Amino acid sequence: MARLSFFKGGIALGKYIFRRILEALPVVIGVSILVFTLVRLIPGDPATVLLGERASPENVAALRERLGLNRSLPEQYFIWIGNILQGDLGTTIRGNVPIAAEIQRRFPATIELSLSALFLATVLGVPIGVISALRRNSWIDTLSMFFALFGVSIPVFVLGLLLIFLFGVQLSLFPFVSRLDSGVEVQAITGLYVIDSVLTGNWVGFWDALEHLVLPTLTLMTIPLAIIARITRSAMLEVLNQDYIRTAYAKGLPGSMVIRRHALRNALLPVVTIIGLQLGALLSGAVLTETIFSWPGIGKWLFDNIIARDYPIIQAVTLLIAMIYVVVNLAVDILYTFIDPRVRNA
Amino acid sequence: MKLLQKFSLMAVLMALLVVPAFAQDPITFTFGEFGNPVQLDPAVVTDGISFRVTRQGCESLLEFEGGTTVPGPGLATSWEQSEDGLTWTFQLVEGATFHDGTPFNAEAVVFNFNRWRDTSNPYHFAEQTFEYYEAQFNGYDDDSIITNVEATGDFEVTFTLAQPMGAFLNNLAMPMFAISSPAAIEANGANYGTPEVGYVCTGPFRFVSWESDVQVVLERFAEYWGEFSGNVDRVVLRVIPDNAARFAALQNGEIDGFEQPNVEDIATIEASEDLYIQLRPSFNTFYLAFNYRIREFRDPLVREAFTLSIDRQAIVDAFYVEGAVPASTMNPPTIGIGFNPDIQQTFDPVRARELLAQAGFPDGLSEVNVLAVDENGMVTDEVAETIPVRLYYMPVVRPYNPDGEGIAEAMASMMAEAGINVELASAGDWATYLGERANGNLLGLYQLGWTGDNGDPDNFIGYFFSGVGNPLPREGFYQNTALADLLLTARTGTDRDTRNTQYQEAEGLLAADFARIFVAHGPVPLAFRSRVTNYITSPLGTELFKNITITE
Amino acid sequence: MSAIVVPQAPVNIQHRSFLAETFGRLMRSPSARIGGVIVVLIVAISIAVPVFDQVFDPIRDTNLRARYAEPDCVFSLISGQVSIGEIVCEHPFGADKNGRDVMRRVGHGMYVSLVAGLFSVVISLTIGTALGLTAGYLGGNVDSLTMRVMDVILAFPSLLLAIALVTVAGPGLVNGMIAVSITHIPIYARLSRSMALSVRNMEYITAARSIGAGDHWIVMRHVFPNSLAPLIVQATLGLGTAVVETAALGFLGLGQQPPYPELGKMLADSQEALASGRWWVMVFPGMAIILIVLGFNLLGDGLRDALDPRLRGND
Repeated sequence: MARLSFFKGGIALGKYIFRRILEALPVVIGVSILVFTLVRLIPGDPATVLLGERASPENVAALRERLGLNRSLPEQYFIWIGNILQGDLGTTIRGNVPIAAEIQRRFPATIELSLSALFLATVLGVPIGVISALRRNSWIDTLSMFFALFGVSIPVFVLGLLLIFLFGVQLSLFPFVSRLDSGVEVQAITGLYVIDSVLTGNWVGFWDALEHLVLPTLTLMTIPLAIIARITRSAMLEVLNQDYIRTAYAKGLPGSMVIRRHALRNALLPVVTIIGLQLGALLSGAVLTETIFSWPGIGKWLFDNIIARDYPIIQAVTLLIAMIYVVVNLAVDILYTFIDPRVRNA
Repeated sequence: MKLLQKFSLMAVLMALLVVPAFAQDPITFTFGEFGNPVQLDPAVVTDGISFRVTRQGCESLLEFEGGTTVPGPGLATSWEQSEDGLTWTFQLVEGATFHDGTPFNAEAVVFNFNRWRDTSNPYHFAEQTFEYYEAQFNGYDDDSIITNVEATGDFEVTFTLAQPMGAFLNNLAMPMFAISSPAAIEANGANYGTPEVGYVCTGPFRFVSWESDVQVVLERFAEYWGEFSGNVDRVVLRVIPDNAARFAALQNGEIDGFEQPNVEDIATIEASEDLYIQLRPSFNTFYLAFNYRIREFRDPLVREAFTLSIDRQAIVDAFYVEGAVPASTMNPPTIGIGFNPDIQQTFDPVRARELLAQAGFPDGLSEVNVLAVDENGMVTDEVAETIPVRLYYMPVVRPYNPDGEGIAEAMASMMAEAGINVELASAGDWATYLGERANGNLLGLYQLGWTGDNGDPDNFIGYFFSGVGNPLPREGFYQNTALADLLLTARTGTDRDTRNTQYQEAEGLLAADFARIFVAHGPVPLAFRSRVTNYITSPLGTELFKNITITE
Repeated sequence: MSAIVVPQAPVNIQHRSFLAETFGRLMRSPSARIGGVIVVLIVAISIAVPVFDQVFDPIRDTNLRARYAEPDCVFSLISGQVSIGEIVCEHPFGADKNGRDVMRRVGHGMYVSLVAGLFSVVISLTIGTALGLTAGYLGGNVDSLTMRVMDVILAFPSLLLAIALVTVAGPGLVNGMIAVSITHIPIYARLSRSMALSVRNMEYITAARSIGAGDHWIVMRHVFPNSLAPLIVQATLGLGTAVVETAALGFLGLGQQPPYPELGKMLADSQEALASGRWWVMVFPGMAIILIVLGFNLLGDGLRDALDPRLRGND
């Protein structure tokens, strides 16, 4: 509002962002220490734990050297972090493949699923919340809030199985395994098949990828949809009770304009935060959803390797998801300051 | 909206299907596989998926006769054995050609066997191990039972053995001893068998392409020397790891068949007009092994009590497909020689309780003592720890075991009736499970099984119990010297009847010791679309696709 | 304790009226009423099942002859397979692949889930509150260190951290419950800390200190009761989450091990039977979980509205 202090505000904003990043740093370090410690807590020699029982003595010796297992724990931690910062996440026990490359190969599948779930949850959740708030205590409001409560109460693994049984098995409407039918191929550009198939004009691939996305997306989006709808509704209600909205109405501005220009803009602030936070939650929901639908992303990969006891993979994927979670939270905080100037001055 | 999408998708698919049909489409047989082949050099292969590929294109000197475990003519048309059983002469087929156009002859056979046997051979690559050659012929170089292979004519080969070998012909008929083109091996070196090269042999289908994690494509070899009774022009082996996805692919016609559908889905398949189930005769045994590091398991009374506690018939009825039978011996009834029909294990929980009481456990058994292992890997008398009685269950479906966890739950319930309280235990994924078993680390009872490779009992009971050195961790530290001696004698015998008696006696020794709990011999279901006809199943597993006739 | 004599009666009266008022407010909220009914129902089932079904032996429960028996009783009546005269009630919810009665296993599974949820919440609530109150009351380095550690735990999506912890500790129901409770500690710690901070400087605390009350006494007597309302709300909602997460661990094979009944594990086992249309092995355990979570979420929402006007977002 205050255009005069624009320059001053810019500096304050930069300072605020810098402070937030500084504040996030100890958390990032703490997360890495925790992940590092977890694997060291597994009984047995860390080198054997990381290489598997059938490793040759030479390989064990080489890994001991590489991880500095003869040195103190803090030193080992710094060696480990050093490797990670250089992009070396270690190698898998089975097959001895670099983990970073494997994550790169599987991550697009997880991104595609998470983003489509988040997109649908937002596109549906915000209007539902706004309408519920505007028609407060109407049957629409009651119904949508009941479903929102139901939505947060139905675990993804129950919903996924119900959808598979109804729409996959009984009605045979949608496939419920993997990303594409066997025999259908999509040339990977971004790794998101729906986009890649459009880019290459591969319509068979496009419909197939889209069909495969339906059930996992429905499963994964339900909880975020419910949360977004509820938060939007209560944020909207709060704003509608504010003086300036009442004033706007009193000034005789048309209702739709008041809502668009004033109410919606301000109500969306907390909604943005919640949407951002959902992305982190989606990534962990992906472990369950991908397992149920054999979706070849990092969640399914993590699950398979928990069973296989491939600890380097578990370590790397856990660290990755936690880091994404931290970074997304930070980004949401910073984004928030751009939308809501009150925060940075607080 | 959704309906519209469905229709447009279908329209596109139809267009794709219809257009090439005008151009005289080759007849394709597509088989769904749960994994990738590992290798396509038949001599290096050890897994079923790879063999299913190499079997279509690579032939051995002998071949198992259609649907049996009896070795018959293959690339060798006839053979003779010397009086002492040490010299074998084979007459080879004339006019066969390798897929690269080079002729098949006695020199090619000699080239292959020398490559496998001599570690100093330039084509015995350091990065490859001919695991099966080592296992079936006692080792490489001087250890090898085959001491000399010689071309005694253009189409005659003579083998000299160090000692007689009862299963020699069965061994030669195994798919790992298929003859590859010497020219291809010379040209490609260690790349022979990789996705770029594939295999180059004499069989009905030649290698076209192998795209990792996607598919292997083979096509009919026009100059094939032998009989080709089917009409398949192209074979596609498509990788579909998920069982439900394989089933879906079969239902919508993406694949023509696959192995081992979920037991629960079999009724659905049988009820469908487009699909059918064909059973591969069982040539396998599912068993529960005792780990002899458990002190209590060293008492035959305890082992007998466990054996009596299992209701095999109930397990077979509930979990297996039709045609499965309860097992009482290691060798299955379908084996040519060495099956002992006189051994019948019974189900008697009351007697089991009595035996436990006799063994000193009147209140049943819930905890056991684990014996320590010394630095040489020998089990000592010292108790290392006390643990619950554990029953380890397999994490995967195998031909002999359709549901590891379900069967384990049923077994635990049966054992409880006999006063044995077992705790179910898992041991990671399949590779981990096998690794723990090989190291003797499954401390309790554990599920495992075996499918025969060549129809001979030496590859069945003989594979497990012939050890005469230290007790083997992979066999749960079980050792029975009398049994091992008998099995080693039977291995070098050449008279069928004598060997039959020896293997039957061996089964007797095993049963008297209650060394293992044999549970079931199960047929393996294969699911097909009804357009696939004349698929001839083989008890040994990997069938030939050259007989298949596709009807439209 | 006995050294300090505090007039008890007035506090009690105040307390009772507070309770009565809260209860009245609670009963006016429809979500709390429905949630309350569901929760009472679940608790009743969970108490009744182990009490009335003491002969249940999960190990010996197998009956292979009843493998995948279809639901009889009401369901066979609805589907018109039998008339009311010939109704049989052997397996009202059907049987699973080992012929075990699904209703019985769902009943015991609900008990296990509820106990697991309660156990997790009690642990995380106790530890979290203790940490939060201590940090908030003491402030300084203790506070910032504790809260940094809490931040680190919160930096993980909770199910992911629980999975990682169980991977290290080994699968099992108890390990699963502990893992879930660890991931929830920060929620309670943050909540109770902020409460402690807000009441710390209030007048009655200063007054208590001025009459010579010890720190311990102040925390127990004043800070803690004032933090109670939001903690109760959070614990009720958290119970639903804890039930879902322990069931999720069971679903992934990291929680309760076979043959013991647990809702998540039952759902995982049901997957192989779906393609052949055996819906009952999936639907009933699934409904049981939904019921538990829905019940506690409704009740928690209602409690929030009734107990703590400050937390009411929309009124």
